[in-house]
Amino acid sequence: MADVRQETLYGCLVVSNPCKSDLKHDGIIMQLEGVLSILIPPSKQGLIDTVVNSLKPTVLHSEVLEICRAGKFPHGTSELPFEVLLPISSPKKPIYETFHGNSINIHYALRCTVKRSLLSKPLIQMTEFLVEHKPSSCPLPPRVREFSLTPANVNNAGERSRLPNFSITGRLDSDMCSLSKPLTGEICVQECSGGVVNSIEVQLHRLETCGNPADHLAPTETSEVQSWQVCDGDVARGLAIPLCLPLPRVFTCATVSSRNFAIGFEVIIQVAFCNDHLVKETIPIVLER
Amino acid sequence: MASDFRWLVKERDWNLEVSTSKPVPVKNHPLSSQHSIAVPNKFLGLPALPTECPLDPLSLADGNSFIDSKTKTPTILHEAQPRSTSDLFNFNEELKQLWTDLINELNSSCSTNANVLVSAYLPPPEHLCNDGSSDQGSATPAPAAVVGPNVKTSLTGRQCIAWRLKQLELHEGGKSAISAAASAASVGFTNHQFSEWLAAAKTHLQALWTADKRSLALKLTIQCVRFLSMLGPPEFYGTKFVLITDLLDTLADLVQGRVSGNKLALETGRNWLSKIASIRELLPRLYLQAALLPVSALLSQSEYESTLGCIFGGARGVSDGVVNAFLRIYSLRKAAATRGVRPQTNGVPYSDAQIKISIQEAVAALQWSWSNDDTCSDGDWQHRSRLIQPLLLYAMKLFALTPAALDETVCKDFLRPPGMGSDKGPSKIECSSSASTLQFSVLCSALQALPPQAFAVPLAHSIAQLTALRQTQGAWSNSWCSCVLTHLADRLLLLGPVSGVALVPLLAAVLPLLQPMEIECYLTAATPWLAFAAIHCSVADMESLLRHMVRRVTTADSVPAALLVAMLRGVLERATSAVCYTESMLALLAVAQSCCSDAALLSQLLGSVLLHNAAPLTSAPLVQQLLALAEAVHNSHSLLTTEDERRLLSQLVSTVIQRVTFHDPEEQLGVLVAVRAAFPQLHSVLVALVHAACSLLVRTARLSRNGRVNVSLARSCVAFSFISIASLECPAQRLRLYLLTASVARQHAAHGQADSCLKASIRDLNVCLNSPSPPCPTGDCWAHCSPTSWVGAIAGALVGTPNPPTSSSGVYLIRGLVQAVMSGSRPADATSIMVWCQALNCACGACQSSPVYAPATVEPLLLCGASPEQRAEAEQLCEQLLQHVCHACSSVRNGAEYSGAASQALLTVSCWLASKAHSPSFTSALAPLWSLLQRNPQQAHVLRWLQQRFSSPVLR
Repeated sequence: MADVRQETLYGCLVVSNPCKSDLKHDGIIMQLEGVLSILIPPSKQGLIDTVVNSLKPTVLHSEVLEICRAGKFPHGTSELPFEVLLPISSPKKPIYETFHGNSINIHYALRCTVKRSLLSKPLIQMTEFLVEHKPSSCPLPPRVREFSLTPANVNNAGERSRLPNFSITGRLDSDMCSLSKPLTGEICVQECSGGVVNSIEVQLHRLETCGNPADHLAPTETSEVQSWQVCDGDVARGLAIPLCLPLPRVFTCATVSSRNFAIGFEVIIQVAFCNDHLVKETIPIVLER
Repeated sequence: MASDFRWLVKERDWNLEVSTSKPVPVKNHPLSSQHSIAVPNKFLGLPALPTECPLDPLSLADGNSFIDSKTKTPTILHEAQPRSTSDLFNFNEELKQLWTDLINELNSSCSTNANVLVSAYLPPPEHLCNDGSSDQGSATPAPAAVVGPNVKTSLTGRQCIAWRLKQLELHEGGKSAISAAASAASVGFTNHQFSEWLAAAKTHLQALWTADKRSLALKLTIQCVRFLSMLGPPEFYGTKFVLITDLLDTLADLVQGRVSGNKLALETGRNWLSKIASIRELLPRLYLQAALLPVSALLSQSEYESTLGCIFGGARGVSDGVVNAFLRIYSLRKAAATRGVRPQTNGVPYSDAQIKISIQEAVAALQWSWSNDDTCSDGDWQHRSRLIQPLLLYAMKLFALTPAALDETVCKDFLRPPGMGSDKGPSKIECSSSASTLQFSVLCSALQALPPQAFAVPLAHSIAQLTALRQTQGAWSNSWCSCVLTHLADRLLLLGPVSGVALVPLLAAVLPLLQPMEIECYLTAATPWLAFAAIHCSVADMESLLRHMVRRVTTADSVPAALLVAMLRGVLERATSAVCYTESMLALLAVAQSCCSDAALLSQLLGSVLLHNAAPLTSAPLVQQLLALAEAVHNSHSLLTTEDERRLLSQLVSTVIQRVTFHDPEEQLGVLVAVRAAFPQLHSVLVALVHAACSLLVRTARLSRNGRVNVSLARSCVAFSFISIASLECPAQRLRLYLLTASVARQHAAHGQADSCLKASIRDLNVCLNSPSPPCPTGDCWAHCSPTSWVGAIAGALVGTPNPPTSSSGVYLIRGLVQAVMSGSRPADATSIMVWCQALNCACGACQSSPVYAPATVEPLLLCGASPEQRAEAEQLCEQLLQHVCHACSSVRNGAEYSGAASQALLTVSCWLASKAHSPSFTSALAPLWSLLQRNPQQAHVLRWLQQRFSSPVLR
């Protein structure tokens, strides 16, 4: 992994020539490319979108350097070391962390091209590298986020008559979470009469906004990244169950918001009762490196 | 012996098998009694009893040996030295042993013969981790289910439908119960099939790992662990846990091997932990995190602690109490195994702190889970208690291995199980079945596992009060109450000296609890309590406790003899010997005698009384009771009784006889007479009786003012011995005992009876010498020896005459001896020559007018100074014997044994010639002996002495 703050990407190009004769080439170039591609989800696509397709990928950074001039590779293996100075992220030209989502993809890759004569196709090899921001030197102070689920305050309860009389409380130790630390907090079933808790899950969802986040009409897709069951069955009342959930290393990145896209995350507390009734509580969180 | 001499003996502590013997300096001689080692008695399972005949009766007359030996405590080294636990303490080994015990206990809880339905659907293991593209994207459902309504299932909808259709199809085929059972069996998988399936899964897991399909191996393990989320069927859950944790351990070992053998160990370890942390389901995630705790211990301290927190905190989310408890036990085991890697956090072992919290949380989960379960019957509670008790015991033992277990305040928390908190009074304790079952399980486990230091007497009071309350409520059965009280007393027994506490109130609180119990429970619980009281209470208190027990035992319809005997043995082992003399103890011994038909048990009881009561038996009732016990054992003997059992009984009775020490010798003689009447067929008892009668005489004489005993008593004792000896079969034993009795009789002026004994001994000598084979078939008979020794012993008894010398034996006895040795057709070999020489010595002594070797002094211990007629007869006997010897000497041959015989003959002749005129015929007859001696260098010193003797003017 490389750091975007003027870090150098080191590497070595290995050329293997199995033929006994020399391998002739017209030069080798290495292209460093960062691409942001935004794809509006089909469910949010309008008629025009379906015709015009989607936004074109945005090149975040592109740099070409020549590794080797035209020449020959002898029989055997040849190693060509290289180094690329990575760009510095700036407000004008930001460098985002690598992210692979359903609608938004931020992808950094090295493309190596071996040019050959006109009658031969160039040899191309591509490899991805991950970009992560350095952890902040002054992390934000933790902000405890408490939550409570009762029949009165859940929104998506469905048929409320099927709900038991319950009260589930808890907290997240901070809604500003570091990606390198587990998500912590606790949850407690205070009361549940007239029904039995079957399961409690904590889900991490990502929110990908294609368009200006300030625009409320901008399509946003929510998808599940990870789900953890934290209670199996009807747990004791008043028993605080600690949450200690390490965040996944892939499919997450630091929360980001720009002019034309945004990546956010939220935690959903989902309670399933024995009659398969589900209630949820959504807590938006901010992930930071 | 100089006391400052440093003797060395080898001491070996057999409790420490690894220890080697090393020399330890001591001040006493190694062969002195202080270093005697008792050989364990294989029949009693107890340390050795004192030997059958510890002291020769004749030696009793000498000095202080009698008094000293009786007042000394017998040296019985049965108390093992407290071994140093620090030397043997090996935490990992203890951990493995605990886990092995738990596995065995869990496996035994499920009968191997019983078929229980475990799962309705089991795909082949390779299908579990199938990553085929058809199911890509959708989570693979757990393939297990428990048959029955309202039971959680993890089958997919399609599988549920297929299973239900199959059920319906089978039920339609036949409506009988048989077909229903067959259908149930056909759609479900039994415990045996499930075990085989898991074995196949384990093999498949290893194959996947070998094929570098590690993700699939992890997936397979996750699927298997899912089975643990379902409790049913509860009787198989323990075995299921054992099998699946074995699979988990296999995966953990493979992962650890990969991580430790990898250059990027930390990164690989983190990668694995990250994979596991992303598992959706709670139980597989926690189990796998626990399994890989050794891997996380290789990471940083914070990561390790974070993983531990995830496991133990996350376990709170498992609602089922039993599932929760099993998960915690596995996690504790793995956490404890990482102590070596991560020993401490903030000065306290992190896993140690977790143990106590985990036990408390597991108990809380059980309490919650069980309190919501209204479907359980009484039998179910018993079964649940049996299921979780091994777990709690394991956890408590694990906790007991940690330093925190030595903290009394920490342990008190365990001893106050739910419902017994300090904030609640005893009257507010919950009395539901679940709470009481849980309370019993926790209390029992704590009592068995925690160190005795945790059990102060005030706490024992509280536990007794709780037991009383539960008994009153009917929440605990009598067997449970008995179990709790037994474990409590066992702990108190290990507590060591207890001071400054009121033990009597504690016992007073416990005894009423025992009273309403069935007799089996009563005796089981009373045994350790009485043992505890025997250590700490006075004799008067013990008397009252035993009286309480007598009342309970005598009112019972039938008393389990084994329990009663075990209880009495426990008391006898620990109590002072004074307790044996109490009326209650005698009554209990009588009850044991009446209710017990097992001779082995009675023998053990009798052995315990004798072993732990080293003092002389001075109480007639106790002696009578002991003899009654022995008689009961004797009466139970039959043709099928083995020789070992008879020997054991003989040993016990002999010990009783030796210990009896009454103030009145006639009363003691009466006991001996009664014993002879009761055990006429036990020959070793008869031997002991003869010794005891002789000892009685000697002891009485020593204790009397003038050193004499009443003549009638002496005659009675000798007569008793004489009659008793006649009942023995072995002539050699009779011979020895007759000689012993004769000696004692002579000492006490019973000369007529002494002569009778000597005559009888000569008769038996005749039998012994003329029997072609050994006199009695017993190979290890103590009286068997060479004919020379027999003749020598008799000759010595005839020559040796006690003070006063007027009691010298008549020459007719010497004549009888000479005839006995010359009768029969004995070959003229070396032994015969020696025998004749022994008789010749005796006859020579009888014909002397004065002592041969010390003519200046009148030695009263020699048979000399008889009347001229008797001397003349003795001389004739001497000549007759000497001619016999000389005749035999003419045929002697070379050899060491013949040279010995020749030297003996020459010595005898030289002595005889000292007082007789020189006879040339004898000189010529002795010539072959002389030449034989000259050829044998071993007899050189004898030869020199004889040369001087024969060259003296007296002989010439």
